[in-house]
Amino acid sequence: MEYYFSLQFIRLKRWFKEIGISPILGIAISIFVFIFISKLLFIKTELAKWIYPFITLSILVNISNSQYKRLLKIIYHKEKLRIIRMVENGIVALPFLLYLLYEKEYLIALILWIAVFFVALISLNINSTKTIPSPFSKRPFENIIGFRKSFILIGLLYFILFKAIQVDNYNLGMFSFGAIYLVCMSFYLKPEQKYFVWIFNDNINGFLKRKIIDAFICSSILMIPALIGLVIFDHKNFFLPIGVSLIGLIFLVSMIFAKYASYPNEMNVPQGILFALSIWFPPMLLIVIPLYYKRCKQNLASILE
Amino acid sequence: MISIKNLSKNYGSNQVLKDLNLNLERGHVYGFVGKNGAGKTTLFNCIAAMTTYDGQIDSEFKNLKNHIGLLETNPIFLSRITGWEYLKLLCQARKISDDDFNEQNIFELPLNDYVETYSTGMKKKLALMGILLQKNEVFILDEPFNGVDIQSNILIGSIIEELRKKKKIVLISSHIFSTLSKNCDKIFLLNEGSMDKGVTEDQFEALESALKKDIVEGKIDRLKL
Repeated sequence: MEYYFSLQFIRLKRWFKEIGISPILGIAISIFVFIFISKLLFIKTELAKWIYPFITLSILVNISNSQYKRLLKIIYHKEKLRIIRMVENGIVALPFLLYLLYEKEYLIALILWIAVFFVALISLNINSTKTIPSPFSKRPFENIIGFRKSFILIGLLYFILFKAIQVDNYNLGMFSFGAIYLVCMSFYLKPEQKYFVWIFNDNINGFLKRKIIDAFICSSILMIPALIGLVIFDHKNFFLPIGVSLIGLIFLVSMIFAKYASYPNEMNVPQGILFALSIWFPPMLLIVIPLYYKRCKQNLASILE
Repeated sequence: MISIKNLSKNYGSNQVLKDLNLNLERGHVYGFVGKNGAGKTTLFNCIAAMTTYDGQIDSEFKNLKNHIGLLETNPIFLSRITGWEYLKLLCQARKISDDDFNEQNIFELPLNDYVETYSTGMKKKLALMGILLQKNEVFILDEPFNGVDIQSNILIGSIIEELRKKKKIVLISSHIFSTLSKNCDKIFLLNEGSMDKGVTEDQFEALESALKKDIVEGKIDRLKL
């Protein structure tokens, strides 16, 4: 069991090296960025105390379904596996818990702590072989895969949105709306294997145009019901969800560009920071998008042309 | 036609392909044999422009890669994608709007299931079906017979025959010599990155005997069975 955790630490160190920074610096930057974003979030919205447990549990549900958990099931005895999952969940949740305690949100921290261990005890069979129907079958790629991986999260966000409308909490509704957009953007985080770029008989612009059109269509399918709900809910503020939608679409474009700006590697730290900064200060997109686009062209040229 | 001139490929100081020259014509099936690491897959990747190389590859097509169907030894698939969706993706990538694959599903694959639930052979058959649906002009089949059941092997042989009739260019690599001698017009032997002139049907038997002699000679005795 100790070896498993030391291996995980080695994997983390290797990951930092792959994205081009030393592990010590990487961990230091991660802690700094985490504290910075947390501070910002708790200053900007009262909902932060709810966003934190939500993010933590989403991460935990996601890792509990990853492929290597299957390998763990094969290697370890049931009891040991349970302990591993508890410790692992505890490590992942610790920064969020500590920050909730720092913000004196003791009750939420306690509930989260219990939930973290509960997630370790239950076995979510999301990786079932049963095909999950998706509204994106005609455009099979990032969106269909992303949807199948996140359909529980999307369902949960829609449930929160529905509840927000029911209890007259417009801010919570807007939060869910924005979070669904973030989920759509997350579909484009992982780079696909080179073969799945190579097969396209487009030039670079044609390829990117296709990707953007697909992203617009698929995200709209997911977003429009939420948008209609919010506009009907508070028609005086209709411009707000529409505005978020338009900005969301621009972010989606920059996310696609960011993905291929690092291709075939994952987005590296400087690009990630640049992207995070542009979420915080959207006018930065005017610089970021052309920059990413230029890198996209360089990276895709050898594969497509 | 595809014309390969002075093709070389290096991985650092390791030269994998050494100055290869080759003409590939329509309506012909070409076989490539060689030990593991001889450079067969690297050669295929160069032709498909999946990797950079030194030398020249010319063809009748404006952008050759857009007319190639590449069947890799271990085809790559995306997670949580059904067989049908995989075929749709491959067709869409080449701007082909077909989406009724039931008639073309000659391998009787469960197209509504996730590809990750498929067996090795089923995955290979799906990947082959994908590149056939793309209506390519050139087919690069890296180990197409590996892991596939005997019935499907017969079917793949017939598909290759049909591709020849349709004047396509087909390149095949295989570790099973008989699959090449049955299906190819010409076989090339790759050895440590170099290639011979290639032998035609009348010399296949001699090539197989030479290969056997080279591979087996003395080695079985060393086992001291």
